[in-house]
Amino acid sequence: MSNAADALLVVTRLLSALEAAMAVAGNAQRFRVLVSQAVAEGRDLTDAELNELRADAQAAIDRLGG
Amino acid sequence: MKRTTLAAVFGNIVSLAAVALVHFGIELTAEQQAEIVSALLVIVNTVALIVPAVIATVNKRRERRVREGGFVTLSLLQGIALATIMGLILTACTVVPETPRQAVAASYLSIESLAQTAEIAYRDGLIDDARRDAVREELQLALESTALAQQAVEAGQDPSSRLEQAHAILSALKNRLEIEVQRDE
Repeated sequence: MSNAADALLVVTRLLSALEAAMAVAGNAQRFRVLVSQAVAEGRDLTDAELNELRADAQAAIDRLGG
Repeated sequence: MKRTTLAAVFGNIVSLAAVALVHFGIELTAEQQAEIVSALLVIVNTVALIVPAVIATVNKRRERRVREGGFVTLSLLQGIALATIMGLILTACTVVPETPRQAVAASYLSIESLAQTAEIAYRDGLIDDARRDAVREELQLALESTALAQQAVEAGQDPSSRLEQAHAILSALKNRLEIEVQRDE
């Protein structure tokens, strides 16, 4: 395979890796925001917040099923 | 080049640039100059991480024959797995769960992150249907364990064992992905 095709392939792969990294970073930030808000309001995470996180995790698993 | 030396070099460059910009009516405060230097350091460090990986991948690619029906670019899968693990570590290091509810939340988010990562890997042809289905089943188990942990928290009970179950499932999933990477290479 040519060098140009190799380079394009590598760029594509890196973009996928970056996309995955951004998704992970986004979730990490979401956690920080949730905890920060709770701490600022002098409380722990609520049942509603945990239920929403569970629903989002389930939705992500369901999307994986196609 | 050491980070401190690089920072000093960038600092001098930015200072000179600030002096030049004054002639164009643009004034940069010391804080703005420091922010520019920090941004330059981040960019350079990021490039320094990516470029060797790109070069190594290209070299490996030349030695690897193409498999019929596509190829499994496990170097990228390894990168995705690494990015996921780094994200999990990042979450743990940046805000360490201090309460059981926070620990449950972190577990849900970790599951979602792995599911999103696996979705990207499957979409890009890095894992096949069987691997995707296996990952989904394990993530579902981890989710159920975390949900039981949440129930324990709501009942005023200790959720540790359930959370440890979820963590063990996610860790095993990560390890299997890494084994797959090593086997292919």
